[in-house]
Amino acid sequence: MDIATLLQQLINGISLGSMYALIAIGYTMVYGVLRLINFAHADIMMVGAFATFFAMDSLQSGFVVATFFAIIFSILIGVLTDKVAYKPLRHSPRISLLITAIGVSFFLENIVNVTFGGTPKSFSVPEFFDTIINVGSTILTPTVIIVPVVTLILLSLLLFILYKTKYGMAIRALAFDVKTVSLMGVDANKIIMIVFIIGSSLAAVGGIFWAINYPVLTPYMGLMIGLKAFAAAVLGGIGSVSGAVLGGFILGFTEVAVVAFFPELGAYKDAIAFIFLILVLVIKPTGIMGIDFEKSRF
Amino acid sequence: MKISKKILSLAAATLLGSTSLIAKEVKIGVIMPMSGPVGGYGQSANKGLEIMYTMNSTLDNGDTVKLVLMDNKSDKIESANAASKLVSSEKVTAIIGALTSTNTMAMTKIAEDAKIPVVAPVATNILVTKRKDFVSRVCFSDAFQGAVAANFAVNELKEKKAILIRDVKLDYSIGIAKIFKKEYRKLGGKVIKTLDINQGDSDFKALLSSIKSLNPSLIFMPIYSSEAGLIAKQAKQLGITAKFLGTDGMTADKVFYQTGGDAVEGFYGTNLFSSDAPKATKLSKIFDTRYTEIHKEKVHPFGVLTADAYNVIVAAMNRCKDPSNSVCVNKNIRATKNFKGASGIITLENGDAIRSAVINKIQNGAEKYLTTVNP
Repeated sequence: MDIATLLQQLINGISLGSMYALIAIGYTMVYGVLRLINFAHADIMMVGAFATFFAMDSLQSGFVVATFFAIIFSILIGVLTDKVAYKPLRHSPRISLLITAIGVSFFLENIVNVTFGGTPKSFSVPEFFDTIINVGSTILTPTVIIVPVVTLILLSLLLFILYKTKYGMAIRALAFDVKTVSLMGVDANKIIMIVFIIGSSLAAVGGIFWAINYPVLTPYMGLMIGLKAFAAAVLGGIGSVSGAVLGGFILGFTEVAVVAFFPELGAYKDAIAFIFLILVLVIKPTGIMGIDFEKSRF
Repeated sequence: MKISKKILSLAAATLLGSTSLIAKEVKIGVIMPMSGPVGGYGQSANKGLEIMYTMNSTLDNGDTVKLVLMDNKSDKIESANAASKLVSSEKVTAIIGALTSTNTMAMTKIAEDAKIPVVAPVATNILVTKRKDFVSRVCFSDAFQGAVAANFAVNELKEKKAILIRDVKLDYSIGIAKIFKKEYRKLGGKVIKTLDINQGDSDFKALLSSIKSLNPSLIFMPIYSSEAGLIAKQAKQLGITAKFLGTDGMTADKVFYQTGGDAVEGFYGTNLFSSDAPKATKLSKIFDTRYTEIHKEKVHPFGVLTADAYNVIVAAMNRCKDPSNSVCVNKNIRATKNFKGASGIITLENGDAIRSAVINKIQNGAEKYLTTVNP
């Protein structure tokens, strides 16, 4: 493999990894606070992608307006799922919550399936994103630069919220002990709502970027992406935001590396990425940045 | 008064009871992917079927034909379930479907066991009809399509080195890739590398970057529309300038053109049918006018072939004394010879149609007919 191809593959890895990272953050945050693997999270991402598609295709709005519409709509759906599906189960066994999350996931998939007709939809990408930038012999598209940058900006913003604001402190405190924190006068439900707002907006951004990069939308697109983003969150140490981002990048790179070095094994790239995940977890069960499961969060 | 009413109803009952006097209803099951990844295929196929059905829905003896449509959600298990339901509770006489090769193969065993004939409109994989007495198709098999593609690549495109991209989730793709390789080698071509993808994948940049470093001049990809559109787009973003050659599944869903945009310009594709090719039958012309009138678009290959699957079944039923006798219908389907269908003249040999293929080039976001290849 020559240098140009290697560089190109490196860029492919960054671009794919940052997309996983964006979605992984949502998994990790909800897990940190509620100890819930929110299976519906990837479907919120799908809803975000479809909302953008709907705004542009049916409402004829511009891309920027569509983006805002999608983010707000996804936040609404995210908060609504929490209020309707998760809140009544706050004090139930965690397994009930988990099964509810799977139910919400199916519900969202099928609602979109029915409303949009179930066939793959093509997302009309704004022309700006199709411009091709030549840097030496490697070729870039705007998203390759924008997505990682946006991911890192959002990560720093999130870390700022978590560590420098009162709400962040409350979120971190909730992750330790919901009951005690409630006794201290923190409205736990409000804080959980904030977590869902943050998670859903990140999912929506992820969905929009996904739609731009891979403009075929299906109601079940969240399934595989969700699994991978979840794997990324686990790999990085679930509960840790920086870990989720790191895990996303590692997973993206592994996937690209498999295809880059062994093109014949392309069909197994998902399998190999997951085997890698298992190996890491065998060596370090808490994930890369998850220090101690019960002591530290975020 | 009371008595006469009773007698009247009794008479009516006897009349209804004697089937020979009143027209019956014969059911044909239709299994289509109306939703899911290849939902677009099913919807296009159904458009053609509906038009044909409105043109001709009664048999010669006065019986009416009823279509029972089942959505297999692009899934093979759902296809098998649909077939069981059609056979056991709907009591259909014949089945049209299930469009894609994998889904068709998932359900033929059920029909075969129940001795219900299946007519596949566009399932081209070789194995679909192999060692099956009740499975036929109105399209050619990939033994032909693969050879046509290889021939076109070597003799028309003059490309003797190719990269092959196949979708390992599709029997269709694996089958056609195998035949292409064999035929291509026979003609002096060489497949430099075979690369695999999975239906549902969306990131092909890593794969395409590796392909780019091999600097190929031809990429053959017998895959479906969504993936083909994404590959086209990403290949353009990476600056791949090779010629692309696809098969009938590539262009069958408009999502291919929408996703690929200007990246699919200049792609070549083999196909089952082209409405721009010279029309061989009268029905073909009538069907074409109707279809374009109603749907304001060119006749979809899947639509016209599904219409012909229906036509072949109806013609076979007409030749049976009892049109609901599935064994007799099957016998007549398989004996179809020089049948003048909407897609051309159909002759079945061991369940496979012997017919020509067309080759198109994509120009201005649509297929432009290049040539017809006869078997």
